Amino acid sequence: MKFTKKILSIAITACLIVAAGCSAGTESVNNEQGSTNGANNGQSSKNTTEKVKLEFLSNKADVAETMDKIIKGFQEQNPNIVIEQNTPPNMLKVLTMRFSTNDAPPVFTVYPSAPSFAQLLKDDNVAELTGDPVLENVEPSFVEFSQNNGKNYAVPYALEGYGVVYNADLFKELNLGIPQTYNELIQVAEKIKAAGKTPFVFADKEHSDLRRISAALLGLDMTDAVPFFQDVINGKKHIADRETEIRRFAEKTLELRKYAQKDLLGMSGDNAVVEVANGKAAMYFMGMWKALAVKKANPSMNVAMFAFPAEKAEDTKVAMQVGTALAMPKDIKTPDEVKKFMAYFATTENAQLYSDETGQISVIKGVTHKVKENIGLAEMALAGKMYRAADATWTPAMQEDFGKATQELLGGASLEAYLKKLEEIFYNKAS
Amino acid sequence: MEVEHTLRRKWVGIVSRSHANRRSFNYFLFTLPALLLYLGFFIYPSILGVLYSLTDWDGLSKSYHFIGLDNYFAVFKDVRFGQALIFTFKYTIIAVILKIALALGLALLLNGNIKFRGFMRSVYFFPAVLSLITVGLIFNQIFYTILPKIGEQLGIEVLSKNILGDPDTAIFGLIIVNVWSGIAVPMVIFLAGLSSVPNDLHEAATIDGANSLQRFFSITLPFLIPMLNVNLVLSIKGGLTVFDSIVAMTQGGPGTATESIAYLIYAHGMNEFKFGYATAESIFIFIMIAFISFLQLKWLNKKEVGQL
Amino acid sequence: MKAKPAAQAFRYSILALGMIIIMIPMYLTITLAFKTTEESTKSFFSLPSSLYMGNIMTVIKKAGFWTYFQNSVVITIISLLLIMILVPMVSFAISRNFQKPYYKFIYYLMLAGIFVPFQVIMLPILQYTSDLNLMNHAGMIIMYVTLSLTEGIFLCVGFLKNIQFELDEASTIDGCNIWQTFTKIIFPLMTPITLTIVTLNSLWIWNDFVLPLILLNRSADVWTLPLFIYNFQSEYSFDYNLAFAGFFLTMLPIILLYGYMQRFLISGLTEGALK
Repeated sequence: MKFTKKILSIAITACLIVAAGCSAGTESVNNEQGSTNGANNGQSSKNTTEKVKLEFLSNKADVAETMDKIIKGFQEQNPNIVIEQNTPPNMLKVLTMRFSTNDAPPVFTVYPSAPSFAQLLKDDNVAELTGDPVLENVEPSFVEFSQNNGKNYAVPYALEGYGVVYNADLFKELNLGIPQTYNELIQVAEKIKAAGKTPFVFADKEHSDLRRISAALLGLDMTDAVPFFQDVINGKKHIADRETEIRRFAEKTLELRKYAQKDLLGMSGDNAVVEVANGKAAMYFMGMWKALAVKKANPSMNVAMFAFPAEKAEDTKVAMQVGTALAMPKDIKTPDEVKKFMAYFATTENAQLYSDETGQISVIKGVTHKVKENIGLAEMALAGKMYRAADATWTPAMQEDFGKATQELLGGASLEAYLKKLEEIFYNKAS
Repeated sequence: MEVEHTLRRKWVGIVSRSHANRRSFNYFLFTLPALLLYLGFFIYPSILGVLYSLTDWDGLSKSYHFIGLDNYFAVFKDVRFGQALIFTFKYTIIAVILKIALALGLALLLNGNIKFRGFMRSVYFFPAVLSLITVGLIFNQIFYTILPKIGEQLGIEVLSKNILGDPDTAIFGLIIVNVWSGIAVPMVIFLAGLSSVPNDLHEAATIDGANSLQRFFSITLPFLIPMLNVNLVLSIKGGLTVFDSIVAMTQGGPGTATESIAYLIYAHGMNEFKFGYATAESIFIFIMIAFISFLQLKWLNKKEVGQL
Repeated sequence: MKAKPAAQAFRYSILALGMIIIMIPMYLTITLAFKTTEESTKSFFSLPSSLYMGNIMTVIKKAGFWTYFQNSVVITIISLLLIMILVPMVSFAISRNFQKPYYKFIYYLMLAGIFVPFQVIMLPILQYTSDLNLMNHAGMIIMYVTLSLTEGIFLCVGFLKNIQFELDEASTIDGCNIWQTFTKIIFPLMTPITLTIVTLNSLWIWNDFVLPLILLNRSADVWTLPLFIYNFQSEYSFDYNLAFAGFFLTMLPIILLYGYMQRFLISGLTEGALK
């Protein structure tokens, strides 16, 4: 008690000393601000005179360590350039925010197919890279794949996609083959169930995860899902126009859950990984990065992935998008330095490192996919057996609403209510 | 600062140098720093908020249009907003009642002559020092791994799965966490009130034959009314603006079952690029909270005066 | 007061149960932080068989944990010092001039802030601080001080009503000017309520998540601990033990400080609320 009183009296005395003089309150506030600001400004201006400092704004906190290695290599070659990686939560919002306040970072990660990127392009914020030498080492078909309106605004490095993560040890033990059709998948699930294991785990507590796989499933059965939804959004078509297919998708979604963990909406993405890693669940339909997460959680287990099978074996493809791509703002003071970094990251050696450590499917020339957990998916994607999930052109609001509506379907809402909800979410919502 | 000095000189020049004036000028200076901060960083942004709410701005484009009250009409018609409103009220009512009742109960138990009083107080106060984000993330695991096991053992169907995964029970998961971490401060404030109750009053009442319940209502409770005021104001506002725990635990789900107003505003404004719309929602909710708080303060002030 | 033994036993058992409920999450956090992944997969609840330091080391090595810690400390302390001076000052002026329209007006203007949920100004603040180049620690401090005014003035003015005006008058007769009256007489008398305000605000500022989430996104170097832990857990979500080691480490400073200062914290709340 005595001690604390002492601290308090010292603190109060200190305040009074600081606050001596009548208007001292304001003074001290201003001084604080002044000095903190001053220090910051001083620091940054000092640095810019010596070196070029580039902020690299990234949404990939999970691969930050690999990026740091690449950055380190780059800085050794270019001692005058300092790259600072920044991976804030909610990076997309941060990025748009920074653009709207004219404080864009010189280099940032993007999803070239996402509406958020289209928004940036609409306001003419991003530097065009069509025909630029930085794209030279990218496989030509993927240079085209990552175009927006026929032009390149981003350097694509790698693809990411969706598939079924499975416990290869268990499949071997139960003598199960990779299912080639949807019916075979259900049969495999039956067998796993009979063996006393949970066939599937679905991270349905996360509306964003649920949306991702649902959109992938929808796009698999409905090959023109992307243009169809675009028409609905533009008010040209209704959800009801393709009711049978959407119903079939919803029924599949529900059917798969019959083989899932009993507590559907209680399973988070983190817990789902652990369910697979500790051998309780056999299959997990989600992004490829989850295979590596399972591997990290249980290094002794053999984990692999297969593409989610379509109704017919020959229709099976993998849902893919460019997951790693870099872009830079249009009005940038240091375009050459940024391009240097983009090109460095696009060298075969670095792209190989990136692919090996993150398991992403590189689209850089000369890279071979070595990560065995998702090599099957990589081969399919690179052979062109890929498609875009239905949500490729949805706005973030639509994506969230769709995920939440699907949660409600799993929570017991009727199919009719679900279809009605989809109509509400999409019909004539182009702004 | 410069401005302030010239301002002061001006003032002093214009106003007669009489002692009283100088005094009142000094009083004015006392209010200045706080007032400037408040005007610059609270009132001004609030006005900006009102302006944004009249636009169709997405928070990103360089241009936007004034669209009058369209956003407000849209908020009225928005089913999701209505649900969030209902959720927020339901949550607030349950959480406030639980918090106040448990805090009062604990304060009564911890008051008076018991062993390990200091130690127990410290333990009970401890949750207040932890961040809700951390607490929420920890409870996520508890609700997933531990509670279902207990539920299964006890054969309680509702508890045998993650309560955050069921639209009907997820709200209670949030309430548990918020009560767990939010009970300490009101408890300590009640304890303070209890220690101000004169002991001789209790003794006199006991001699007069009052039982402990009667003593509580006729002696203890009146002394606690000011503390009740403070606690109610703090916890109602906390309830109506619940946010952190939802971000950490449910993200508003399953479906839209646990979307509070504050969460919805964040989701619309930050994730869904409906900046103008989200500010309209926030203004709407401001009017509502202002109304409730106004009634609350008016009612409580009356009580307080009556008590003194 | 004497109570019956049965009632006493009941009282202690309720209190003990409550303490268990409080301690379970802490127990889990600490034990999981010191277990390997394999061990916790096998036995989630048990005590760790040995003190495995790997998780803790990973967290410390991986991230600029100390930077975040320092940021949190700096922001909290500077904000609190400013709050400690500004709030009593303005409250004093208001309470002594309440009959004048200007003071009445600013009092109600600031009180009105109680009704304004943070969300109203959240989005404009984002835009506004960005324009002013205040998306940094200075901006955070300004916002914390500003946001603390409402509640602080509400509590302080109420408290000052109970300090007799005669004291000021006497000191004026003794030749003190207002500043001296404030620093020598009023401010010391306000210690209990100042403590209350400092306590409430320190808990809020130290643990705040929203403001850092929206303001501190320019560089990871300026993050605070709550922001770090949120990001850390999404990065290492697949690994319970690492995540819990992160929780444990972010809690550790506050646990230590709490152990040392808990009486101070509790009495800070108590003494102010008493009046």
